[in-house]
Amino acid sequence: MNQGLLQSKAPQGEQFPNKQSAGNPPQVDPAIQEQFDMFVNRGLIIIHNDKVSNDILNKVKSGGNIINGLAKTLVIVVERIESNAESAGVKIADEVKIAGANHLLSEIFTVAETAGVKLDERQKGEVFANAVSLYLDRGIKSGKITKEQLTKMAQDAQATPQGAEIAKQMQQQTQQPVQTPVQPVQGQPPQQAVQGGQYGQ
Amino acid sequence: MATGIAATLVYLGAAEATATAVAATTVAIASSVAYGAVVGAVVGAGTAAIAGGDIGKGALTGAVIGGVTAGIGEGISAYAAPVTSAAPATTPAIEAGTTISGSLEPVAETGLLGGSTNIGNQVATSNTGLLSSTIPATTAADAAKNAASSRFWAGVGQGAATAAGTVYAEKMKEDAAEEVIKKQEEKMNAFKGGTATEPTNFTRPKRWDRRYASS
Repeated sequence: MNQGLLQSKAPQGEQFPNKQSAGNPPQVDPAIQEQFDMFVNRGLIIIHNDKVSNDILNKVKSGGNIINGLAKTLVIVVERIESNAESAGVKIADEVKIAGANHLLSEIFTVAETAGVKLDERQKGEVFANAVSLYLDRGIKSGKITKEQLTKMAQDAQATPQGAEIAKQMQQQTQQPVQTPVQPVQGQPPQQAVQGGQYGQ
Repeated sequence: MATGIAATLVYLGAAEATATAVAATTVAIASSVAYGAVVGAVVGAGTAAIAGGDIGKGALTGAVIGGVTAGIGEGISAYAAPVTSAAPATTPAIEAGTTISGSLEPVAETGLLGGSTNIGNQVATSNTGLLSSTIPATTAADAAKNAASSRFWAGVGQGAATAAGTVYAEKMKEDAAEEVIKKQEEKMNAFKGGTATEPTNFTRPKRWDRRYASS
């Protein structure tokens, strides 16, 4: 993530289109759409690679934490796409990463559902939230994102209305740490919910 | 952006870039929720970093709150989902016990499946049409497009097959498709580079032969 994304996008509703206006269908810069297509296609190939798809199914079958397992799978796929792109000197736009990851996650869910796991909307949101936090955490630990960069990004984010609201709610919930579901059972949705309400759609 | 996209084309390979429509996909969650989660994760992680706390935990807390906060927004993805006319409408399912057919059998006999001699009798695919025998031999790019599609749907089938306890012959399909690509590329490169030999059935005009034969 770079600060440019957070600075340039108004945090309301659909954020990713570059040329959206009220009342009109959202439109995306063709170049960005093209990069998005390639991001998703590359991700699909990775997801449906023997090893990755088997790994997803194994995570489902193992009875481990499905939410975290699927989140980690998404992060690994995105990181692999990024790694390949960086090797070729390509910087993938952040908006492509976010929207593309959302599409790829849908595909990961499809694979998981093939194995008998059905996630509701709230749980799907949890997977995405876990993936984003894991992505950032791994980025910091690997040195890809410095703490200074992260701090600056956070400040920029908090400067937006949505970021400010989130920061405010975080302060209010200081006494209520987030709990992630940890009891994945094949074919059954986790029983624990993330505190803080439900994801809307 | 043009430079970036051009480089991306190199990164993905020109052939694969033509296969921009591998399959129809949909978003997993509302885009507004996804964006909210990202903003929240950044805020949470940054707050934790400043406070010297657990960045991962802070990011998760923020992501959850961000997702919830954005949950009231719209959920329309601005991106057109990649679609393909070649992709089946539903995920191809693999049924155990169906005999494999056609050009897959010779491939299996070559040991590409790790020596599983009875695999041909255990594997079935609804995608045999994507094998080499039916891949349009028009251009290398078209062949690559089909190969990419083949790999994708083979993967979907593989996942379904694994779940069902059966085995899927993705490698067979992939190898078959790649063989077509290789041959197409060789053919095109040979003629582009001027290294191609004349077709064996090409003969010089008799008039030309007579002219030099008499000199």
